[in-house]
This record gives sequence, C-alpha cells and structure tokens, in this order.
Amino acid sequence: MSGTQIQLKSCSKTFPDGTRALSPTSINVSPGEILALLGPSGCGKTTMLRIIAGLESPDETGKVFFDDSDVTSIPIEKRSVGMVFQSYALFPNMSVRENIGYGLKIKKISTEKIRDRVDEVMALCQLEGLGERNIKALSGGQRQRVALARAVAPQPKILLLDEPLSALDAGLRDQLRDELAILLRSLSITTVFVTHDQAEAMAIADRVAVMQKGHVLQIDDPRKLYTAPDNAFVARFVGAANELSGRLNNNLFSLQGGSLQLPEGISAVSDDKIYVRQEAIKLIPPSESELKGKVLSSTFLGNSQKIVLSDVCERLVNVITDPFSKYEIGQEVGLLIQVEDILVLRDD
Amino acid sequence: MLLQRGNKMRNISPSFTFQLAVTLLACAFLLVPAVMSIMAGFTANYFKGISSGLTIKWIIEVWELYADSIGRSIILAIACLFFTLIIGIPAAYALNQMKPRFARILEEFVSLPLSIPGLALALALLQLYGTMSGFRLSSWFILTGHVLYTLPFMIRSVLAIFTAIDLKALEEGASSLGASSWQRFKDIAVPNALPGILAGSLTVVTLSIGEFNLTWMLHTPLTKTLPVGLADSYASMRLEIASAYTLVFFIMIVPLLVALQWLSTRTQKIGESR
Amino acid sequence: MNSRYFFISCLLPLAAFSFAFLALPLVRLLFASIDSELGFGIYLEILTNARYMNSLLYTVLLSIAVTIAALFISTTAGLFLVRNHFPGHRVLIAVLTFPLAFPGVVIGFLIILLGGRQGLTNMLAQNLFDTRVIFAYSMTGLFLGYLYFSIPRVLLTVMAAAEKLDLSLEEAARSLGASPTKVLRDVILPALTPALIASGAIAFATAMGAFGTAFTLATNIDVLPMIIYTEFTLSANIAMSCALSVVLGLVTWILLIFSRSLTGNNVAAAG
Repeated sequence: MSGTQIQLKSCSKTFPDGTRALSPTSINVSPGEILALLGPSGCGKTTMLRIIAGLESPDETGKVFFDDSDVTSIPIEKRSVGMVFQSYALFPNMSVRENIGYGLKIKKISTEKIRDRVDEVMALCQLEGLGERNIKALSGGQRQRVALARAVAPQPKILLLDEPLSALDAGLRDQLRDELAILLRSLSITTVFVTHDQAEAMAIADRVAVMQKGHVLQIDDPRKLYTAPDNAFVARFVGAANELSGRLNNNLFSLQGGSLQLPEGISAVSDDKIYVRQEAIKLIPPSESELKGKVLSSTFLGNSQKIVLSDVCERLVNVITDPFSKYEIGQEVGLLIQVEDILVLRDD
Repeated sequence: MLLQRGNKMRNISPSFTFQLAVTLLACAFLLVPAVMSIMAGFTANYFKGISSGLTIKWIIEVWELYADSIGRSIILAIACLFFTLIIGIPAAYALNQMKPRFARILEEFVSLPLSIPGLALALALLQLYGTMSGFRLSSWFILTGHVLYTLPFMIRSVLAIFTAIDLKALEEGASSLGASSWQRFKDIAVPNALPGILAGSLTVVTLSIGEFNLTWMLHTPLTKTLPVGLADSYASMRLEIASAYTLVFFIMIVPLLVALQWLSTRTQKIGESR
Repeated sequence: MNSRYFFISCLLPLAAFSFAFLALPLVRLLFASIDSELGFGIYLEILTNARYMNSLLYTVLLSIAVTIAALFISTTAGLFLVRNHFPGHRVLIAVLTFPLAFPGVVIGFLIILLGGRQGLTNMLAQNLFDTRVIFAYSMTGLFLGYLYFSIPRVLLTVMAAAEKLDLSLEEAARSLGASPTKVLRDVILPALTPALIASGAIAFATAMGAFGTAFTLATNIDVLPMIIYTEFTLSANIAMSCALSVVLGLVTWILLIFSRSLTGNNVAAAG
C-alpha cells in the first residue's frame, strides 16, 4: 500500500508544571493505515496526536519518524501533515475556496493548478457549489468537510484528525461517521485520529489504540479488541461489558445468583471477577439454569431490548436481547453464558 | 485536553528577538523619564547630579506650596466617587434592563465626554454656567466636570459585570421567589456587581486625581487641583520642585493602578468561569 | 414598589445630570459659536483661514503618525506579552499600561526631562559628543509625548483581543505549511483587525483632542486644542473658540462612531 509509515519511539510528554500527559510510548502506523487513538479525556491521546503533528515536542528521549527520516525537531509547517482540528479552525477571513487552497498557495503552486486541485477535492468532499461561501454561512457538516478538504488538498504525507466529529450533533454525527470512513479509505493516506467515541473508532479505523492515563493499553483491530480485550478497562471502554464478581473454586465460579462452570485451566481469576458482554448472555427459564437473576427493568430499544437484572451478583447486570420477548418486573430468569464468551482479565 | 501556549520549536527565532526588543524599548521609553523625574525629586541639585546628595527638602517644599491643591484633589476625588456611585450604579442597572437599541443610544450619549475633547466640554460648561458666579467660583463647578468625565467609566464597568454574570437570569430567579424590584436591586444586582463597582471606583478616583483638560479651564485661583498645580510648577518652579511634585502624584496614583491591575485579572477570571 | 417606577427612578439621576451638564451645555456651545456677526459664516471662516486650516492639518497629520506608531509598537509588544510568560511579565505590563492614568501635563514634563534643555539626551550629547540635542519643544517632542499616552491605550485593547485568539487557527495554518510570518499576515492580523481599528480610532481621537501635553511643552506648533485655548483666553474670541471646539468634537465623535460601526465594538477615548 502507498503512504508513509509513522513510528513513535519511546515518546513521552511531561509538561512544565510536572504533569505527565504521556508515558513513554512506541507505536508504528503502517503506510496507508488508519489508526484511532481512543480513550477518555485526559488519557494522552490528543498529546500523542500533537507530537505526531509537530505541535508538541516529545521529552528528550522520544523520537518521531516518518518512514526513515527523523522528524522530531522539524516544526509542523515543514512536516507535510494534513490536520483536521476539533473546532475545524477554518479561517474566518477567507472563503471556502480560499481555505481549501491555502496550503497550496503557501507551496507557491500556480493559480490554475490550485483551482483544479481545489475543484477536485471539493468534488471528493461533496462541496460543489460552495466555493464562494463565507465560512459563517456553512452548516456544521459542511464545515467538517471543508476542514477535511483543506487538510488533504496539499496531498500531505499523513493525515491527522482531532475529534473530527465531536462538534456535531448526534444524528448528523452518525451519518458523517460512515461518510468519513468511506472517504478516508478512498484517500489511502496514513491517518491517525483521536476520538473518545468507541463506535466512531470502530467504524473508521483499521486498528484502534485504547489509551488510559498516558498509557496505550492495547492496539488491535476492532474485532480483536472487542472479543479479546487485554484487560478490564479495554473490555469496559470498547463495548460495554458486565463485571460479575464471585468466588472461584475448582473451576466452579459461585455468585450470589448461583454458579457458573468455567473452562479447565482457569486457575487465577484476579480479584475474583469475570466479564461478559451484554449480548452474550441469553435469558432462559430459571429451571434450566444454575445461575438466576431478577428483572429490574426492561427498555425497548427498537431493534433490541435492554434488560437490567438484579440479584445475579453485587452489581446490576445488563442484557441485550431480542426486542419482543416480554419480561415482567420482578420476574425470575435464568442466565445462559457460553464458556467462550467469558472474559477473564487482568484488572486495570 | 492539555494545550500549551506557543511552541518551543519556534521560540528562539529572529522574530522573537525583534518582538522582545520592541517591547523592552517601549518599556524603556515609558519608564526612563518617569524614573528620572523620581530621582530628580530626591536630588539636592539636579544639574550637579546625584553626587550633590539626596534630600527630601523638595518634597517638603512641595507640601508647603501645594498642600491645599493636593488636599482639594483628594476631596474632589472622593466626592466624585460618591456622585458617580449614586448616579452610575442605578443607571447601569436600568440600562441592563432596557431594550438593547435604546440602551445603546443612551450609553452613547452619556459616553460623549469620552469622545469629545475635555477642552470643548469645559467651554460648553463655561458658556452655560459661567455667569452663575456662586457656582462658577466654587469647587462644585470642577466637581461637575469630573463627574461628567468619569461617570461613563463607572457605568461601563458595572454594566460589563451585569452582562458577564447574566443578571437577567439571576433576577428572574429572584422574582420567581417573590423579590420586589428594590429587593432584587439591593440583594442580587449590587452584591454580584461588586467587582465591577470596585474596578469602576478605582478608575474614577484615579482619573479624577489626574484630570487636567477640563479642570484647567474650570478652575479659579482659589480652586486649584493637583494637576493644575503641576502645570503651574512646570511653568514657574525649579526642576527639582516640579519633579518632587510629580513624585507626589505618582505616589498617589500608582497604588490605585496596582490595585486596578490586580482586580482586572481577577474580574477576567470571573468572566471566564461563567 | 412597582417595577416600572423603580426602573424610572434608577434612570432619573442620570437623566437629570446628563441633561443639565451635558445636553444643555453642548447646545449652548453650538449657539455660542454662531453668536458673532458672522453667524454660521464662522464655520466658513475656519475653512478659509490659513492659520486654522494649517493647525487642523498639523493636528491630523500628527495624530495619524502617532496612531500608526502606537499600533505598530503596541501590537508587537502586546502579542509578545500575551504569548510569552516569564518572570517580570506583569511588571512589564504594568510599565506599559500605567501611563494611561497620567495627565497630559505630566507627560509633557516627562518629555522635557527626556529631550528638553536640561533633559537626558541633551546632557548625554553634551558630555559625550559636545553637541546639543533638544527635541522636546519641536514636532518630535509632541510626537513622543502623544506616543507616550497612546501606547497604553492601544496595548490594552490589543492584549485583550490577543488573549481571545483561537490558537487552533494558527496551528491549522502552520499544518498547511505557513511560516510564522505568513501565520501573522494570514491569521493573526486579520483576527486582530477589529481590535486594531477600535484602538487606532481611540488613539487618533485622543491625540486630536490632547491639550495638556502641548500646553506643557509650549511648542511653537499650534495643535488645534492650543488654538482653541489661545482664542478663548488671549484673544477672547469666544465664538471662534466655540466653533473650533464644535468642529474638533464632531470630528472625533464621528470618527469613533464610524470605527464602532466597522467593528461592532464599544470603544472609548479617554484623556
């Protein structure tokens, strides 16, 4: 695949006031790959993006490579990166066309070539006919596309997006998420983007790096992250997971509502907790199961329904099930959990 | 998110050096003559330099010559503060409630003394009231000029706070609890506007003490103020006395200015935290 | 109390004061200006009299020069002080803004200390080069004096605007390859333009109406406020001094209104 490889070598970031925004981190982004940095606010994802961009410099030991060249001390304006900012940062004193053409103008490209390239990028981003508009006259979705068009117009080596969809309202965000995924794939530029929304990360990225408190906990493709999280934080953050606490005795896991047979070879369950995805729990008549709970509430979600169970363990258990089975409040139900769906994880 | 101002990679550059140089030159330009004036006020003989010895005799002489005009300036400043408070705070409160269009026009009108030169205002006052000799010859005439000139600062300062704290929402809350207009004014509006009232007060006192353009035209030999005395000393006294008098002026206004700077950084935070 | 009455009683002190001491005197000033045998012709007299027109020209040119210099210095220093924090930062801001409260007479005196007969530069020049350098009583002295009180006015506005600049705009420009100079030209200055227009208008209006500095320096260059003063006190030409005041007041007021309509900002001259 075409594109530039990004390598961070033990990059950390300590701010002058002593706070550690990023612990030493090494990652590789393959040419043409789309990597998402996912985590709650303050986890260091934006700092990492800004280090790649050249807006922050890493602490002494850190190095940033684009392919084989060390760009650590090269300022952003010489790095040839395209960047989409959270606020979009469109220049209010320029029209849509001038915004998109700005990077090309800086490169001293001829006016005709700029015009052609801007037309091309505007078509790509579905912005035809908006060229002469004032930035203030654009909708949120249009601004987002102008910001992207401006970033890709100069054909950057890498593309960086900082929370590209967070400034939009929910309905529009879902629609634009899919459009953005298709568009980014068609560009085949090495892309790193930051988000706190796991659905966004999964929809757009080839691989997702889950971050917490300045550390990268796991980098994997979305399916692997979901089915085989490395630890409890990843399990909880990427797709919700139920935490069941109990006591393990000879592969028999005993909880408040009964017991579960765990596979052979599971010896040490840390803190006596296991994790199960919400949709991995099937509800069956109580007589058919060793593990029982009580229905606390049921919420109809259209294509599914969410059942909250009490009395399974100390915490409430959420189950996603088919939308049309009826459950009464207080009704006793049995839980069926396949052995391969049980996640045994290190605690965070 | 952690954002850092500026960027290390760019800091030490020719443009940085240039900006630093311009800033320091501007500081030097403003500071050097002020420091010279302070030193001259303490020097026994300015023409021989500091080697002639340090003395406070010039300051004592200033006190003997100008104590009454300094005292008058302080009394005027306090009186001016009193009147700007009782006119300005209710006015700002009413302006905040008015339709924006009317409020703008009215604010524009009472702010005229900020855009029309003091000399023109003084002439206007003289034309109308110059013949009412009881008023014309008293300190009240100067006070009128000072209130005229400082009132817009008080109104703007208080009005800015009213807008920053979204007084209208607070007042709606208070009226839903049954507070009358007067209770809302004294329990909600005034206490919450205190930072703005304080900033306005410091500005009013500072400007009143230093006001010259109006006062020079309005004063009589019996109603001289500090800056009028300053002009007088610059024209007719030896340099050391003029400097010592300037020093007295600095001593009076610099604490006010420091307080104002401290307050303005604090009020900014109030605005930002909303 | 009925809220309508309370509202009116809040406005009453302001209305009474402004009517008696602002509205009426200004109307009286206008009438006093035509209260001579010339009538409204006095304004024609201003236009045809070389002394008045020269004075107006000098005042305008001086004010323009001071405004440009103050904009340049204060924008450079203001951006620098907003972007760079270092020990002594607040002291520098204090030094650059405190002169806002100095009356014109004091500033005139400070310029004399700098460039007068007994001033710093003259003494240095005499001791080092055995020449005399006196500029306080010339156009240079006036220029420096006006600059002295204009720098703080512009600086405060520019700094307030620079604090509010959206840093991501600059980062975006840099990510597209713009050098610091281009970022300044394409992003920072356009974003500061309203503040620069507003503070430039204040500086200009203040310079037009400044009296104390010129009064203390007692130069042979007659700026308009000095002409008004001498017409009033020495020549007792009251109608002319009033007419010139009306002209000066109108010019500065209209200019400020105009700048406000350009920027949508509330600005005010002071001093």
